[in-house]
Amino acid sequence: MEIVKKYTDIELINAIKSPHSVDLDRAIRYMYEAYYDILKIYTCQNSGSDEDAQDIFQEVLVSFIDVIKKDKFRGEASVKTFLYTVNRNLWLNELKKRGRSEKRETIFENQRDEKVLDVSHIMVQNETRKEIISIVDELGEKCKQILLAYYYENLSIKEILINQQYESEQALRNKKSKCLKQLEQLLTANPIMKKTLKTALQYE
Amino acid sequence: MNNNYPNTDMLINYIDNNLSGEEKIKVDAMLRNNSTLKTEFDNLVLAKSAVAYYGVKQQVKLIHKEVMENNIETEPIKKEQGVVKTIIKWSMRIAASLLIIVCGLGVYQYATITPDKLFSENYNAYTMSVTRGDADATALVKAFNEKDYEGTIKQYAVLNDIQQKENFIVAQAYLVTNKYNYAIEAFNAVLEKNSLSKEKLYNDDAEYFLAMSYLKNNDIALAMPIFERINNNTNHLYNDKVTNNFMRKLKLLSWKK
Repeated sequence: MEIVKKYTDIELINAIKSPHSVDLDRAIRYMYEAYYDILKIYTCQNSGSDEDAQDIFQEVLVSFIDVIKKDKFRGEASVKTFLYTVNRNLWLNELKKRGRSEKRETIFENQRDEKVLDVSHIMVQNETRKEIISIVDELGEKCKQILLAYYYENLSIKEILINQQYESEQALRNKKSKCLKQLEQLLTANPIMKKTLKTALQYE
Repeated sequence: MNNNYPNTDMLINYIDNNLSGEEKIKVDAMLRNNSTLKTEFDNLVLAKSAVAYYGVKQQVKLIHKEVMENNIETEPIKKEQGVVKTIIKWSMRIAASLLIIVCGLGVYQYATITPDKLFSENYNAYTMSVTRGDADATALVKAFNEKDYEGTIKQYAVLNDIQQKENFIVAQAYLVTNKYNYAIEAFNAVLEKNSLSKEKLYNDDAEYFLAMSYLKNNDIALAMPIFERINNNTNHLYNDKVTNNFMRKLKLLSWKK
């Protein structure tokens, strides 16, 4: 098994911000190694199953990485505290949704969050997150591959062309534009949803 | 497609940073003056953000799957290694005997444990070192170190500039003088100031003593998550004080409530 590199908070943030996918890959593995067990304990000790802990941890990492990449991490607490707080808030939201949260605990948790660390700006609602994923999934496989390669993996058109069946760079470029336009129309088809997505994706 | 569709390529090139300086200036001006074009631009940026979000989700999902599969693979191997039937048999017998002893101890602990008892078993009064600095603050520390806790509270009342240190000291004085609600308020003030400041002063101490104040005040539900956090964090200053045994006793208290 790959030996997981250890990071300080600053190194971890830099690895997440790195344009190279491999750096993010290592950072994610490190976060699993360093924080998964601790966060799992919290979820499992508060009426969650092992599966719940896994789902919530994935959501925590996605939110954290997204926040770092958009430079919205305020650095007012350590990464560990931040992840713990997001994990707790996500899990309490989930419990509330399931109607199993004890009132006393919820009140306390709300107070603690206000006083210790405010992560409300990154608490994208679960439904909105699922909506984003399902909208992108509506694009064809080809479109997803091209957009992910260009906008997520930061590959150039030339590099993407190696793995795609297009006559020229221009043809691929046109396809990419068409795909992005298609996604834009899917995302903005419903004005109310558009506003929610905007808040969720741009932390406005 | 809308009427601005012919402009879409231009906007995408702008987003992709593929335009020359002159072209960028031209698009900037168009975006300022044409609200429909600006809306389309914002929507395309939104679409780009959605792709990035989707990408992160996919990458985390892949690694998650891999990590979980590796965990599942290693667990049964560990269980099967060194398995000798007789050892298991004897282990089971010893375990059963231990279980009876542990259960007996558990019942005894459950019957005798109280917040006061758990508090006094673990509480050590805090002492401060006298440092140079503001005269009032030094008087506050001196009063505290001379165990003049009422004096400490009076010194605090006349201070103008109250920072984490002053809040922390007075919280300790309140704790010693059994004014737990005031102690809780002052420890929370330390943590609140820390959350707003880059300089985290007495953070671990304040967390631990806040939890101890909750314990002494019989607010087990409020003490529990803080102690859990300290117990889980090996880097916490008070991690060695909040042992698993301590946590077990705390859980017994929470069940008694």
